[in-house]
Amino acid sequence: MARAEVLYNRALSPYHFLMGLSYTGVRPAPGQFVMLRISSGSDPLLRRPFGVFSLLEDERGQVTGITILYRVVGRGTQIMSEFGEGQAVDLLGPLGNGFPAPKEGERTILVAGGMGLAPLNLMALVYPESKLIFGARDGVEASVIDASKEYGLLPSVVTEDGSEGEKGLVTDLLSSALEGLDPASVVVHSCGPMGMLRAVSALMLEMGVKTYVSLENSMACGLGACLGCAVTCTGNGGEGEYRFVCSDGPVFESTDIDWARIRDGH
Amino acid sequence: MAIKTSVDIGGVTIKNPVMTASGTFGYGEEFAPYTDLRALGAVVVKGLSLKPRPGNPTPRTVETPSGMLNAIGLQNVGVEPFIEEKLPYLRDIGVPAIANIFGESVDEYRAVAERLEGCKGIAAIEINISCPNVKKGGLQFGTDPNSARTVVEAVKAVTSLPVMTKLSPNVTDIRAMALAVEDGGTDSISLINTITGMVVDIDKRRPVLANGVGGLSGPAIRPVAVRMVCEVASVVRVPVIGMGGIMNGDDALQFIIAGATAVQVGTASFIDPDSAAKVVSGIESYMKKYNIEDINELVGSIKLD
Repeated sequence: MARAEVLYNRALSPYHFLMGLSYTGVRPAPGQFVMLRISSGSDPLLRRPFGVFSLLEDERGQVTGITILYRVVGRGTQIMSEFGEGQAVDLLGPLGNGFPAPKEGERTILVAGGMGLAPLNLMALVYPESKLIFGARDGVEASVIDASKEYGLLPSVVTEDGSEGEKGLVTDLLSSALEGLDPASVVVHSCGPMGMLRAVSALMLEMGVKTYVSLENSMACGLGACLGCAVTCTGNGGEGEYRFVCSDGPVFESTDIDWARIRDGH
Repeated sequence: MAIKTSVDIGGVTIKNPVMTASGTFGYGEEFAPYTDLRALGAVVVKGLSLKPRPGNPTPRTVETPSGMLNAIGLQNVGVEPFIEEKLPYLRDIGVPAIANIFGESVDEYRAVAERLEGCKGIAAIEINISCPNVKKGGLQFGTDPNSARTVVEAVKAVTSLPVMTKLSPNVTDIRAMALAVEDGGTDSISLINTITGMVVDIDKRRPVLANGVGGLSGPAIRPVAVRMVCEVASVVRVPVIGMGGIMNGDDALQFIIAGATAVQVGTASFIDPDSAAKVVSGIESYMKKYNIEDINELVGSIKLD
């Protein structure tokens, strides 16, 4: 646990924000997350999990802060959106496993949907040879990609309503990106809504491309204690088993997930 | 001033009155990077059944005003892997482990207790007769005094360890339950487990939790818990262990003054994994402030006139 301070809290749209926080602990790996305590009182009570979007560094490359990307969805994030510079927050992390580092000769494709951009932005910054594909429902949601472009990243953008980039789905761009590539040489890392992850995983399974997904789930602790963030996985000799987004993930190989038993939309 | 914080919780003495509550602290080791486990009186581990249990579908938790609902469904590794893989850690660092046990039948409670007999590192057994989130067992034993007494008697018959029985608040008269388990031979009584609750998703017109209902915990339930501890402590002779929304030393002192010999810290550990250790130091500060040499002077010191 560490006391952090809000360095900035910038609106990317009326609902989407990028928050910079002071932080000097262990360097977070792409795909790891932090748990933020929004209130020092009891309401809201629980911490909120956020993927690390980028690292702030001093001239010697030491980590001095992190940024997180968030969307206002409830009381906790509403309160966060009103935080000003200097606001103290309590930060626990980095937590979780993160994405596996690309191996030599491997082609890395990052597929982000909406707020799923957060961990993949850091992945793209740490591994600049990766290709970043970003999809959003509409122009408002697509506004978050501006934060990636400010870092010099050159994402391929697609929206469902065509208001930003091409009109279509991330799977369209993913299929084109894979044309002419040896599937065995490619690894896809994906984060976004469950329906998108399901579609990406199914398509990549069909094409024989190794795929990792970073999952979201509501969780109380982030430490593997509350057992709230269970996800249905294959394994356990075909019987299936629950694993936990916080302590076993948030990154899983897509074939470890029992997609048939997961309901989209949460 | 030297202060004495050790308490006897019914056949076992712990160095201070602060434990972690079952299901909120894993098997202890998960929290080692964030807190000094040796600062705690004891660690009560996640409820153990005879066989591993997969638990409920998700969503399993939802936040509520100053609290949370959970319906985990007693997911656990099972008693055998606990003994082999989880218990050695707490034993090696010298922190007393209290094994919370659960069964779907009296026979299963008995079998789990039997399996724990003779295991080094276990200071006591806590019988969970009060989980609201499983279909069979749990709450049925927790709401009927005769069933509760039967479970306690069965466990007591096969164990040499001190037995703590954890009561459900989801009853009309908590005193009747407390007297029944005391009559069954329990060495101490812990309360309260969570209060059954529900949150409705108004867009989907269905409960948020996949299980429908869940157990409410956190500061929201504290006044209910303090009241019930006060009631139970006034009618039983065995030590009472209080819990329900304890976030700091002051909260814990409410329970102790109301009659609890010791306390358990639960949901607070999710928010701050160092909470239980902070409760210990909060109690010590209070004792120094009021020149209290022995924590036992505070137990049940409430003035009700």
